[in-house]
Amino acid sequence: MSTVLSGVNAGPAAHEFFTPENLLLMDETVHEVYSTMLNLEVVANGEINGDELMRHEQTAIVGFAGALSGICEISMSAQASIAITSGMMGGMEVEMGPEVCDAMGELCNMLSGGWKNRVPGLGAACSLSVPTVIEGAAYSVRRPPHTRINRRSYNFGDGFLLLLTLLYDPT
Amino acid sequence: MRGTILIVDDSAMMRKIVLRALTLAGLDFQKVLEAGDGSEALEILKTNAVELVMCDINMPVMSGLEMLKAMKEQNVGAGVPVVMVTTESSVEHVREAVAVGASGYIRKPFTPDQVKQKVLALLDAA
Repeated sequence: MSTVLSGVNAGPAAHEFFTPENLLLMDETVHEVYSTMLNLEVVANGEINGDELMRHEQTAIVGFAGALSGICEISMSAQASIAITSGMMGGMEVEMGPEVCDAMGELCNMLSGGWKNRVPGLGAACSLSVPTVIEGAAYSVRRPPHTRINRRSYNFGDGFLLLLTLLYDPT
Repeated sequence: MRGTILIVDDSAMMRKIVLRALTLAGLDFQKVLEAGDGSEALEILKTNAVELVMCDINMPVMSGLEMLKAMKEQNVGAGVPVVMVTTESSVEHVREAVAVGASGYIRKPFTPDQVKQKVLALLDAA
């Protein structure tokens, strides 16, 4: 599977939203969502540099359109996604299935929405797509070469890792 | 025990979470109806006496805001309080939702207490 971002909706001031200060607001968002909806401690590990493959078995993507054209992508292991789902269900025992995909989509939705609403001037100027969830890691994503990417990682629960990518097309 | 609640969200997980938050807040409903988008919700509202609607905004087929507009145009669910439960929480989004008929707004993520305060205020006022 491959995804190509067109950048058609990118606004001229998109770069103003992708500042280091605004990107840090994602840590605040992750903390709020994890503590409020999942009852899980989360630790921000900061930005990840390099081009290493940032993907686990469960991936969810929400698109930004309007003032910022891009995506918010989260990725985690199957076990981590089960822990997320269980957290959302108040600690209920959960098995891998449609509920887990649903929970991944909702988590990505809350993180992308929470972040854009924290960024000054972006909340109403940017729309969110409904989430897309991908199971498995054997796919490639092609993006325009000038795309700007910010990758962050977080630890939660029993040593689980959340990988988060914010990306926008400045053209 | 309250009457009938309609929970509208394209995520079955989120519908469960909303219901769980209501239950944890001590708000029990005799009947819980669910819809996966605004269009389904509209059909349910045509044939059921509903006391409260909890509704997402971003949904496929028919969004929460489109549903509110359709309720007005078709005179469906008149007087039923509709609480938007959404990540779209900018002042502009809230204003737009209120302008088309939303009675209240709960931002995701939410706590059961936040749900309780908003819902009780609306139901007591109704």
